[in-house]
Amino acid sequence: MKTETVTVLNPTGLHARPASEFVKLATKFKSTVKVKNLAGGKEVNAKSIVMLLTLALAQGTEIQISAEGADEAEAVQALAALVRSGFGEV
Amino acid sequence: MKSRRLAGVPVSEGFAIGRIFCFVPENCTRPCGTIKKEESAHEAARYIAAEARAREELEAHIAAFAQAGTNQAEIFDAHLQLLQDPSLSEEAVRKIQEEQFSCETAVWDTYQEFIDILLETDDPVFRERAADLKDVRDRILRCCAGRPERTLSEITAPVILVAHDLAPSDTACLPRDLVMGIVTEIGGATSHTAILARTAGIPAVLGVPGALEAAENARSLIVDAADGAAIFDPDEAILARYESRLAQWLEEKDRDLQFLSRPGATADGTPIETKLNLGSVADAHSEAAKHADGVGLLRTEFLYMESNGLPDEEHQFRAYAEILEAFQDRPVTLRTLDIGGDKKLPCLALPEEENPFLGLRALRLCLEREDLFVTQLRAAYRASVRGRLQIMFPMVGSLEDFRRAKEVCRKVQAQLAGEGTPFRDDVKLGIMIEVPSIALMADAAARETDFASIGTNDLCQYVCAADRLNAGVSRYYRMTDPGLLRLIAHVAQAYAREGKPVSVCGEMASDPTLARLLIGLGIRSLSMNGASLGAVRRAVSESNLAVLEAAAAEKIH
Repeated sequence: MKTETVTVLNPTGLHARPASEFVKLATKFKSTVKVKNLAGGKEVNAKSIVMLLTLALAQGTEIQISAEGADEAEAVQALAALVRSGFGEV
Repeated sequence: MKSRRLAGVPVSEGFAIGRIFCFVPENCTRPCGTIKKEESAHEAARYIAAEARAREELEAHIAAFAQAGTNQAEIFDAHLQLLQDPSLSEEAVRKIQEEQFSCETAVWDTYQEFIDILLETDDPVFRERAADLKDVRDRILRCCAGRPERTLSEITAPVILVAHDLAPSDTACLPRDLVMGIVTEIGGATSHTAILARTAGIPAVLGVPGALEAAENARSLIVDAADGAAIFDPDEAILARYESRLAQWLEEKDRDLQFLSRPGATADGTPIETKLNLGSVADAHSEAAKHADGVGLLRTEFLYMESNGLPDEEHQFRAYAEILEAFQDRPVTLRTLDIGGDKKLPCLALPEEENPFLGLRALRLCLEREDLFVTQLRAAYRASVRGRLQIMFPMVGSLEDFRRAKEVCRKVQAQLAGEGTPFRDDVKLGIMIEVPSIALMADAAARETDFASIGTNDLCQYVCAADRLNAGVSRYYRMTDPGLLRLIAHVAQAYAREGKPVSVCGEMASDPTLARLLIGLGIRSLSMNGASLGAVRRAVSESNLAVLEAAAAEKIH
């Protein structure tokens, strides 16, 4: 299992389009991928858009991305990089 | 057939007269079905099949829109992502297999759980997603029943659309050239139906209870998006009146459109900037907004008057962000809270003053109540990354006022930087010129401020010593008072000398005749209400600068 912690940078947080992009990317990987809101401790399936929305990840929230499977390293790295890029809004 | 007039919320401009098209999609309520344990495998298979059919429908829509080259496909992309969400499909199948619910009931309950969570928040983004979830749910349910999709693309002739509500996928398929007007029973100014109506320029009145029943018994309909009414089976007199109003509106739209789409300049080629005064987020999506050179005045008071309490930073941020995005790289000038005087706020207990216009209002109030000021500035700076923001302070009487305001801006920027919250560091800071003392010091102000906007409504009041709300002294409140005009000319020259921009955002700028006078006095930038943009651009294009300057010189002689 691989994990990485990142902070949500973009102003609208992980809602709407950024959430969509995040899930689209997560779904590409074979591993199971999870996202945890480090503030509340709630963890959900990163491939589920509705579950991601319920996390209500606002700007500034610290999240932990974890993956388990054959491509777990690439999954975590790619998803963390996407979050760090601010989804083109920063 | 008796004529019936129902009232509602007008969410776009114009009028429509014509035949009715009632749109009554599947009536979706919770289906109550249970199955026997032996049937669960078969029932789960039914769900998988329905999901597959729904996916095909969505993929067909996406393909159709891709060919048409529009980005309406985004809605269907989002719906497809929801449809394929593992949490939703796994839960639906689980409900079938473990709780013996029918396919339809399992789908309903699964989606409803998430819809309920999303509706718990006030966040409009979440509520839109709830609407999307309902749309996808209804699609799957229809596919379970094997019923074909009923879409608005069935419309083949010009009609006025009447429905209880329109789902996002409905509006995406709406044939814009055939739908002359829209009336729905629910919905308001910020719904996606309203957004579509404004973007497509379709007269629409929403929130009209009983519209469907009236529509089903009527033959023709008038949509009045000026007053907010739907008139079913109008009698001859009413029909004639509206026919002429419609003709007039179409003519004005046409005429204005010719000028709206041209850049503003005098006949001899002097460029004149023409911008908008905005008083709501909805204004940012109007027809005029698409053609204006920017926003010369974003009045922010509406945010404070809309809700029962004070608008928090998030609420303000979302409003500013939406407006900045609508204007892209055209500048948006945000005026900080201008409350007090005649503009009262129920949620702020402000002490009664003898002379509210000369009292603790606008910037003075913000400097006194720094908590309010900081919240607004934080929201503004955070939103600055979404477009080209400028900030302007109202009721600045001296450069000391301006410096104090700038200091708070610096504080807010340092705060945001410390948090790692992004903002643009090139946000220009300017002042309203409405207090005579700063108008007289225009040369010094022009050196220190980045820009200014003359608030002629209040400047006239202070200069002529006449309350603009007091009918008894209306003859003394003259926008053509020579003293006022000399002062405007003085400000225009002072800013021109420093090479800094100055505009006029008071009512004078919205009047074609007075706008020409302002240009003659040296003003090269005007900010006005949307309805006047076309008329003012037209008046400007028919003017010659030398002539305007001579006429203005005579007035201040």
